Amino acid sequence: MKRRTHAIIGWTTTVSLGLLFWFFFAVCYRHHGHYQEQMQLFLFTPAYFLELIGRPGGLAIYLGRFFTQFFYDSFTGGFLVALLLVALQRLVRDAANQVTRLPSAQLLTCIPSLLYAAVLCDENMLLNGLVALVGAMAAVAVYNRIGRPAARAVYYLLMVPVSYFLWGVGALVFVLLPPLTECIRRRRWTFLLTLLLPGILLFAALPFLAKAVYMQYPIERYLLAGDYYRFVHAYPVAFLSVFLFTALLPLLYRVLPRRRYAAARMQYASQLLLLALLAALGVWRVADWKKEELMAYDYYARVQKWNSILAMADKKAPTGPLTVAMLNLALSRTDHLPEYMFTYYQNGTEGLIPSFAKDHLQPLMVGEIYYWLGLINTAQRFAFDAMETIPDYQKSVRAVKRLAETNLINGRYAVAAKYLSLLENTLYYRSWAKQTRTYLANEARINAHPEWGTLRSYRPGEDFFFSETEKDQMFGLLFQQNPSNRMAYEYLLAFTLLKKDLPAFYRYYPLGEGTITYGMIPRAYREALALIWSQVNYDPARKPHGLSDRAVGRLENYRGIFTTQSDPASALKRTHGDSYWFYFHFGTN
Amino acid sequence: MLLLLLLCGLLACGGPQEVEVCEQFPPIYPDYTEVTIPSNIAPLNFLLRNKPSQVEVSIKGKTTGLLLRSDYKVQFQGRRWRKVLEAEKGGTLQVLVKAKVDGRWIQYAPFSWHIAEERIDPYLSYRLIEPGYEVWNALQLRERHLESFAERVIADNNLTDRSCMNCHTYTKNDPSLSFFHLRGKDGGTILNRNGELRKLDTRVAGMLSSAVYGELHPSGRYGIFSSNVIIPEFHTLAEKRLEVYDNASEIYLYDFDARTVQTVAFPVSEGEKLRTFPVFSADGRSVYYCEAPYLPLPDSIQYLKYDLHRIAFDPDRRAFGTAVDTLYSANAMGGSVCHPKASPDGNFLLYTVADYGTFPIWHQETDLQLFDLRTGERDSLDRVNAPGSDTYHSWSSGSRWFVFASKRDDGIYGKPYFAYVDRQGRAHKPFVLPQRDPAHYDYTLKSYNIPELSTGPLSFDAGDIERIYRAGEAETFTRVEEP
Repeated sequence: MKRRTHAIIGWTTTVSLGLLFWFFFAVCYRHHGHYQEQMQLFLFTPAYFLELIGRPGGLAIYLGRFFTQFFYDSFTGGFLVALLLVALQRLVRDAANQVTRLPSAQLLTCIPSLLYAAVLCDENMLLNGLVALVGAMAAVAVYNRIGRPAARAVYYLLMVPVSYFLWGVGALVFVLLPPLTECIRRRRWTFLLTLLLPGILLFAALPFLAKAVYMQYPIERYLLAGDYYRFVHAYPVAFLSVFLFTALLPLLYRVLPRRRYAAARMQYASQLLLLALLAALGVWRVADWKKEELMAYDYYARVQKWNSILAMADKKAPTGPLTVAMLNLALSRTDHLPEYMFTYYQNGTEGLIPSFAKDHLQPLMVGEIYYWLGLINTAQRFAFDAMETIPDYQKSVRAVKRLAETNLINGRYAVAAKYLSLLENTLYYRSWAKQTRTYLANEARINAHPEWGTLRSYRPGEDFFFSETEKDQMFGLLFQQNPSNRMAYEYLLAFTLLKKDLPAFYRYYPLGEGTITYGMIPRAYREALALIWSQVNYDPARKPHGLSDRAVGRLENYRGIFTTQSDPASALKRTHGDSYWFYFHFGTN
Repeated sequence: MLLLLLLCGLLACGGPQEVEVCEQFPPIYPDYTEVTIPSNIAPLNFLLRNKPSQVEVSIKGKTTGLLLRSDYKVQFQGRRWRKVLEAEKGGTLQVLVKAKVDGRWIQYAPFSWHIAEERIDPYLSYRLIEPGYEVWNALQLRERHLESFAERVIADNNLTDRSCMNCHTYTKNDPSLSFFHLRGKDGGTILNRNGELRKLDTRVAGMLSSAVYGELHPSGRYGIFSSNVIIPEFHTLAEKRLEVYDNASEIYLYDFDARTVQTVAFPVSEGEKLRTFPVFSADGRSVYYCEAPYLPLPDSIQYLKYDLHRIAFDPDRRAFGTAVDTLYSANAMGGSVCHPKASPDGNFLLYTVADYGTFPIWHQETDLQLFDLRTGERDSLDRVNAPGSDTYHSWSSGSRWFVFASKRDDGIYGKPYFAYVDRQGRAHKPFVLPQRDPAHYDYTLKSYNIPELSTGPLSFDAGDIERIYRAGEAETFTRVEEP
């Protein structure tokens, strides 16, 4: 096969690979990117840069976070991840070419990129590791371009510590690859003693040296410098085998057979098949689509795309407490909660408003509900505590933005200004922060703001303590203090319905009379009222006001099936699965 | 004189020509206008909030001065700064700020820096923590050299399984006598005595909790601590944030030599009491503490108010007095007292007063009060207090300076402020701990907790704390009765 053809195939492979990665991370798996983006606060300030660069693996951390921030826009974020993966492929190809030129096997150089793309499917795997791998491979490429052996040796021994301090533990790739390449290419095994051994010894000593100098972290963090994984104290070390594989793959080229033109075509075909299999296996086995779904709900709630949540739920009804809670929030924000909540799967009261958990995502999501309810202090607490739970000690741009909002609504302008100052040093939140700053201390403007002004009016006027076990009481107090807070009223009733506490529902239902108006009684209320009325044998004197005969007729139909069928749950699921009655009898609360 | 001439010359040739005079102080942050400072403090770097393109600052004393041109951040050179302050000790510096704003030079009203005769203790320890609710992440105890910007970590929860650590407290500002509580499964109270670190398990059977609030005796032999059941609650009203109160509390005396602990037997009083915040007097012969009658909580939290009491203590016999003096009566005065701290010379007692409760850092109305133990007079420290919580205070060894954590800037993030108490016992306007970058407080998300002054650097660092944390079991105590 001619050299030009190989070159064309090479670049076609690279570009195709890049496009595939781009499509995957920007479209298919984009909410993982959004999740990553919100779990950091990348600042364009010298102090932020200096704080990171002073740590082993600091440049990898800095650049990893730099690239991650672009997932604010998943197309840009996905493009940059694809670019890094493609750069890795080209660098592996370059390293393999240094061992031996074997163009017919060049597709194999895609494997490390594919493996790393699979690694990145874990939401806790940060871009720092990929940056480190590319950085270490770039250092190898520079090594391979130094002509004089002595200069190469000096460069190598200098770059071992430098690579460790720039890229962290990923520098292992640089420690291994150049000396082994020398051994294989020149068939001189003395390099193992003169280059590799000092390199490994130096590399092994560096974490301990760093610990002695810095002292601030436990030794594990120096041994695994670079913070490639979000849980910096619970590292899945096995994934570092991808680094090892990347270092060793170019060396394999020495033993791969050379093929003639016809055989080369077969070789390309088999390599393509291998890559396709690997990619399919990655998507099937490694990608976590359940989490992607959760992150999608989270993202849409965060950016207030309520209709997108409803569209997702219409395609596939959510079942987890958090996803159901986001669906209920979307229904509430679009004024559909009492009408449609039981047309979707309901997960009890925890699916309406989950209890606080020490986690870095859950409180952010649940905090959205409290925010829209007008429990601004609670939304603030959830944002703050979520940020404090981020395992790698980062700050969250989303939490900081929420804190700026809650403090603005609460009239704590000085502290709001502090958070805005931080956001003004970010790329994507700068203009929002600058715009929001114009609201500081401007009571009239805040009060007139469609979101902040409304939420400000929803806040409790009289103090009470937050209670995780008495949420219905809190919703009731909120509504009592501001009867225009429709969401508080609907959450109060939804809470009682989900708790299957019909007496409480019946007690609270009249609270909305006169202030909360509906064209007709919403379905969930209608069905609950009919059920309550049925429990007093449809006593005409106790008929709920406005309850239609049709609703009663439907209930009777339901009761007929319930009492006559041997397996009423299956039968009713088909005919009345979207009713409150079905939830009442068969749902979990 | 020569320096003054040089200063005048510089001003004449390089300074702004057409200047508009403004009768207000410059909009500087931190607010260092009209403050009293010690001669050994690091440069009071500041910035101008209106972000002028150029700033000229001239500082004039009796015999010396400084001229600085910069952008909106004014950062003094350490050596020159120290020279000026040393030369002008006991005097006053006039600070004149001119700024180029929107192409026009403005000369602001000059302000003064009074340089006190008395130096402040040169080291400050504090805990850095995000002012959160229930969750903490990165916690550090740090030590700052006040004469420069040097700072070092003395304990870091990164190294101790992310366990919580409480604030570090000295006795008599002595760097070889201090303690802090290190929580977590391998934690304990870390006692630093004469350079030796010990890890103590302060909880014995029947106690409510491990040691919480307290202090070491000046002799170093004893420690007096409260044991508390602490409950956090979260307010929903915008102006309030967090309420932390004790459901139960009692006070214990620890003997570190004999490794014994005894319940402090207070004179019999009516009803169940909550007692907390015990500290020794300067001479170690009395204990100050706060006491409130038990109420059903949290419903009656607004009525939970602590008195300030004193009880005699005989260190030789490990025995407490039979009578209690009330220094602050919550019934009569209306507030609730927390964190009493006796000045090292024994003349003053500094404490905080909140409207109610026992956790003043989240009470915006919390203010400091100074009680003259010689005359019984109370000073409400109007020049020191500000809106936002002012609490967590400690004295300098000379009793002429104290430091406290104030949330005056934004209500959330505490910062160390230093106040001078002159010979007449009057406190002066406080100033915040200077930083190399004057924008530091704008960007930091850390709160400074329990700032404590000391005469020298501590002998341990974060590595020593990591070692003792992992060094196995903590020393235990045996319960004994009061002799």
